[in-house]
Amino acid sequence: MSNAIEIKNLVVSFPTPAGYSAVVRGINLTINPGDRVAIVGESGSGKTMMGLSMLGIQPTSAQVEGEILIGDVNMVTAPDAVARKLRGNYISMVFQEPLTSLNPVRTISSQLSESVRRHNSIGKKEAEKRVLEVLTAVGIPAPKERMKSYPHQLSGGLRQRVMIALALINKPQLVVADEPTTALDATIQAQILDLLRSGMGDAALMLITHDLAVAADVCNRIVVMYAGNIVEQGPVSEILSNPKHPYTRGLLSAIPKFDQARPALNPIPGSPPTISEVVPGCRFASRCSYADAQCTASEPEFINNIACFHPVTGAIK
Amino acid sequence: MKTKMTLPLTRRKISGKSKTSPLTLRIAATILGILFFIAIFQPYFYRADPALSDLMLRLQSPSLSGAWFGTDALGQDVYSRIIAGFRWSLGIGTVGTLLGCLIGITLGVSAAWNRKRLRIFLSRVIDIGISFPYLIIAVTIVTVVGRGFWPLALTLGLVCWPTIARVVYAETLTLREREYVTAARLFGIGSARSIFTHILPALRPTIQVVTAFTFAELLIAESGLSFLGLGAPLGTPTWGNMLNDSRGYMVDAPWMMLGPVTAIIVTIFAANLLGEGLNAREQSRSTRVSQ
Amino acid sequence: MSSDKKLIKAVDLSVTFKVPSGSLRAVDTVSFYVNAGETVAIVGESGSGKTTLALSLMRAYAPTSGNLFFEDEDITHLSEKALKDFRKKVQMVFQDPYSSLDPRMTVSQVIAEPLRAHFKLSGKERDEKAGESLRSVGLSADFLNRRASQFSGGQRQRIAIARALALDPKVLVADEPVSALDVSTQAQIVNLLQGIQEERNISYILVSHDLRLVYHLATRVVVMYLGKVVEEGACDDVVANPQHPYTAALLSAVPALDEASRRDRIVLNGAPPSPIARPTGCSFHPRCPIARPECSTNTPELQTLPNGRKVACFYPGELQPHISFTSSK
Repeated sequence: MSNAIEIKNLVVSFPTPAGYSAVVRGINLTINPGDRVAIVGESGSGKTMMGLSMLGIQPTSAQVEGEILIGDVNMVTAPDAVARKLRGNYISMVFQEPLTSLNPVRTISSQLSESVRRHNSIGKKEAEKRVLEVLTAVGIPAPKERMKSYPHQLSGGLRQRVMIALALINKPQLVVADEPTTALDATIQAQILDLLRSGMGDAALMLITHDLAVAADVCNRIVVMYAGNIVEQGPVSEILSNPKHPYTRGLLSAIPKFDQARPALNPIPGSPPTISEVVPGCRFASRCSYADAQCTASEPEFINNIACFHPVTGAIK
Repeated sequence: MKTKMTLPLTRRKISGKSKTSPLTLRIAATILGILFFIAIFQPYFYRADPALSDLMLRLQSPSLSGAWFGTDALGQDVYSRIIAGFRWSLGIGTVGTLLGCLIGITLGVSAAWNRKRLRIFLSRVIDIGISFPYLIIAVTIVTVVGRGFWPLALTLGLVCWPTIARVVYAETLTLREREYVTAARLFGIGSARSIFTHILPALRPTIQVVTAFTFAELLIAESGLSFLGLGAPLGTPTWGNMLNDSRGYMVDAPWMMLGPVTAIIVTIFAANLLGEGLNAREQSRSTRVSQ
Repeated sequence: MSSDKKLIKAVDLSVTFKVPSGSLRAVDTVSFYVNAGETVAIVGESGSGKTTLALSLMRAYAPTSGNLFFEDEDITHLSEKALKDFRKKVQMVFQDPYSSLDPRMTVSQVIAEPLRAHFKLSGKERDEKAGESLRSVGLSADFLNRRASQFSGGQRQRIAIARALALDPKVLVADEPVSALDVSTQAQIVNLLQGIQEERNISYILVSHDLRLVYHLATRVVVMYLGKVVEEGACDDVVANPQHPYTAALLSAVPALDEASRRDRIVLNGAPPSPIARPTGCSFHPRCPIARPECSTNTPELQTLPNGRKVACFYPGELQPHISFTSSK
């Protein structure tokens, strides 16, 4: 198997009073084994819905079209039983808020070992050995004692480590992490970012985040999404030092930096279109200072890692 | 809004049943509208004087040419007496509910808004109110002031307020912690104004739902009390009294019972439907807001 | 431009809450002041007491001990009625523009709410004032009759700022004013806040966990850990040369765009302990990379260093983070 996952022309849409509106609008993306890819976007960019669809756990009202290929299985059309088998075993997910994703009335160890035994025919003893192993790997101090704890007895940072352990326990090929550090404090976020960067074993990582700095911190490739489309992608250094899409450039110059001159920030004017809004042409055009008649007339295709008629070059001033 | 996807690893249903609510609401409102219309313009619906008894015509079975719903043991027209019962039942229900709302909302909001001893005291009062057996209230009032419309309305009001107070109390507790309420206080806005501008408008949907269900409950209670002889004065055409009268004739003249029972069921059904509809509308509104 | 006139001043302020397992000292003998026209940032993690401190400075809580002054008047024990003038001059912007605006109100009602608490206004006057305030935050007065719930996060935060400005306050307390917003709109609000300050010379008390934002906006920084101030000083100094190891770790934990700061990151162990079970000695010692045995027995006082910096540590300046400063020149 050459790719961890391959997404072809993925469309996710929701019913609205005016018919179906697409949140994800035809995305192509390949993640290779061992890759650490960040999906960066604002709320409404479709990044979370894409992540959920990859595991086949999108809300029932969502309509998914296109292909999500895991090996030769297409998650979009796969029967529930097949999808369930792949979830956890091949692809797993880490959510923003670990407390609501863990069962409050069961110990850490019972939840983890159940997950092991659901996918492998092994004994209880062996499963617990694996649990201990993975808890140690995600850096939980005194894992033997913590195994017997309930989720609410752990701090937010430890709970997120447990969530990551749960995601890793069946040695998946790909872990999708949706804003895994947003609910955490700064010093705890630093710990989890370290873990995501170097503690994921052989699993590829798809990190969904709104924060370019978090993306740069953890990943080696950045995919920028805007209003349901991928607008730019590339290696981290390339995206940070030489972003070509006006939106990526806008995001970068909107972040305050440790700069003694404290230059005024350059915000992107306006706000992103809502999902039901019909926008002719490029969806970013109305907020883009480079936009011209061509941009509002037709939508740019995603070619050579960018979807823009007027890619910009040079450093950001 | 920041995306907060906190799904467990299962499919979750997000789609609400927003489409069903307006229809339920419309049906309920239509039925209740008709019922209140009958209650207000009842003389126009009489077939005969509901108080007129003609012993020659007693216990007649329903017929299209004669008494539509039959006659009772005194030869009174069952149909006209049911119509007459509308005014009594709906009137009692309305007054009782309004009274209960007044007491319940006042106590519920004051209990939740205050932070110190007053809250503890008021919530105990509500607890006692909830556990107080309503028959004792009814018997006491009837003993002291006698039977009649107002004593019964008062009884029912005193019976239903604790439930309303409890719901309002719980809701106000969460509303009070809303940031815009804190903000109002920090702007220098007083308690009374905050309650009227922020708390009560936010409580409105909840109160509407509770009111509808309370109204249905009071209709049952009213019939029950009248049936037990604690409600309307003897001989007054009310559904409870009619049920009471029918006891001895259940085999010989079942229509005496079926008429008022149908009226009670239809009214209560409509009131409950209204509650459900309001509830569903509120639910679908709040999910739409959170998405 | 800031002068040395202290608008809000707290002296040894403590706020204690009753919790089932005892009492929680959320703010522990904190002294604080804000001068006219300056921006003071309160920095810390959840549980540090930063929001509680900000709210106590607004007299949202009655202090358990210590004193609070506004323009040299002791307001520690004033009744809500006597606080009216204070409430007029100190306003607040909350973190979440969704929960801080009543969804049932129109924009005009929202903005006019503080006005109506202090003045009698006709409907026309109200709309006029609200419209004026709305224009000052870059929104059109045409929005006055729409409901707040119809707006996006960024626009709502503008409305919240317009509401706070309606009374022309002297101090604005902003609790994480942009952290609930999308990245692309955050900068709009940051610039707006800066513009307002330049125009009106308002003092800001900024509560934030985002040190890049703090560096961008603040003149002075107060770092809190478990209810206590551990470091305080001019923003430039504190970031360039942190004295307390916790400040150093916080600065180092900022997600970085460059490789070097990532490589040399100071990663603290564990999580902040609960304020109910405070460690002995220095509260920070269980997580401190440079803690010595004495740190677990003796409590370091907040001392003033020769350069005016205040720090509560026995070994100030020992731990230094790697921060990549960028230069716009």
